Amino acid sequence: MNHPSIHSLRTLKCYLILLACGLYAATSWPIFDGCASVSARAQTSPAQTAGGPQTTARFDELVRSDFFAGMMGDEARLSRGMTFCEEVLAKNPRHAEALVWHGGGLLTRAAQAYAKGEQSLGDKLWQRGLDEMNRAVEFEPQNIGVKIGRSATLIGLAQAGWDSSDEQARALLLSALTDYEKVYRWQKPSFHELSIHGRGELLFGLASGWSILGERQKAMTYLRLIVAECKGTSYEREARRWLDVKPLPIVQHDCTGCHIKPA
Amino acid sequence: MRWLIFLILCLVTSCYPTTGALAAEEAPEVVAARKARDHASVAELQKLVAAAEKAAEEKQNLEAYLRLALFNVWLCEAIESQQDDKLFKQAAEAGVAAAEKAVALDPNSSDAHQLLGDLLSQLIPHVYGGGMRYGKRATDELERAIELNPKNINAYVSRAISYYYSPDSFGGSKPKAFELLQKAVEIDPAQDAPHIWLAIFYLDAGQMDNAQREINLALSADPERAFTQFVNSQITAAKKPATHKKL
Repeated sequence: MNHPSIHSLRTLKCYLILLACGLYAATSWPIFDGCASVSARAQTSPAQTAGGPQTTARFDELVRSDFFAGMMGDEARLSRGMTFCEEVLAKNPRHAEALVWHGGGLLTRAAQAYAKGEQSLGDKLWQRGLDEMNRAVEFEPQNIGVKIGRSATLIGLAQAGWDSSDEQARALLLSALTDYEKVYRWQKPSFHELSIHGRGELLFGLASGWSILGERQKAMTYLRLIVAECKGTSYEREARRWLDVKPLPIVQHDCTGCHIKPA
Repeated sequence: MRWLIFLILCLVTSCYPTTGALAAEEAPEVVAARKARDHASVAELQKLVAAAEKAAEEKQNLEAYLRLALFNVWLCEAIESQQDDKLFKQAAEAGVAAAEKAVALDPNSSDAHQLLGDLLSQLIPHVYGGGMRYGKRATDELERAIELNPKNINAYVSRAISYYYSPDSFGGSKPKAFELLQKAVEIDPAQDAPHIWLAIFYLDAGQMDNAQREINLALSADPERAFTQFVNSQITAAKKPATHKKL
């Protein structure tokens, strides 16, 4: 008898993880490390440049600690982060980074509503959060930080539960993976210079996402890339373990550590 | 009257994991449902669920909704053998609705909270972002079930599963998972569910002897349960290096 219940239950590994995992990966991306310090509180959106990614001012540094703390249950800090984004968006409704973070905050609020059994409120906040993230990438399709923030969150959500008959979810995940691949292409020339964490999380996101969509070959390609790009690290060991499993199941990867700083 | 209700509830809920010895004292539909679960007979369970649903609508009482939720838990287990995600999700959602009704009828029912927490947990892998939507609530329901009845074996088992599969940074703890299952075994060593999950966790940890011991105990409690047989087959396969597969 084929009884896959244990495999299904393994997805519980992502219990409660989704968002923190997603935006955490986004902000740990080394592109931010190479940026100049923010000159002001990022009240305006950076100008777009054709053909390549933008390396924006470090808006994330202004808000990420509050958002991460909020995702871990600190309501006061979540409110502070949300208020900051709302003030930025009041002046510039097309501020993509503020939108993507605010969208993440709305997803956190949705989770809080679901936890209280408030399904209807949760659904509304959930949809608004996804809409804001989608709008953010529409406004700034070349903004690497926005792309990573949205993609990492959407892939994290898929790791935390997946309904293959949910067409909206499938479209979201596909677009997230497409964007992640674009980020990888942008970064490819200097990929080896990025931190191990940045490399490992991006490639594991791709491996996991494609495996969820049933694209085993693509998933294995990225697992092999992890082996090549993250030699001698826990990422390589984890990738090898997955490559040993035949046929490849859904790749579940838990990000490690969090960037929560004291208020 | 209270005692009668209590007795009925004990019979219904104590058979959730499996107690063959008590079978003669159970309602015929419960016996039939367990047998259908053990044999992974989805069609039979669907009929029993439909009957339980009708009974719950008519009676509108706690017992009827607990039974409906329980049968949906068993239906989920049976469906797993068919890999039908859509059907599984429907059963889990129907079970959640029944368990929510049971909680509403008696907010102090440990079994109602346990069933709700368990079914929400089962729903998580089948809904996009399920962990975020249902994870916290499922955990809260299971904690509440234990708080209301510190001898609720099923609550310990469900909570142990969530402890085991949650990352440490999000409240997960493998030692706590083992601890809760051991506690469940102490409360009633004859129940098979704690042994099945101990076997799975030991298998995951590569402790084959312990895994085999636990699955043998589960098999002695209920040799017919398909889930137990599946885990046993996984342990057997894992003992052969060439066919080892990570669960």
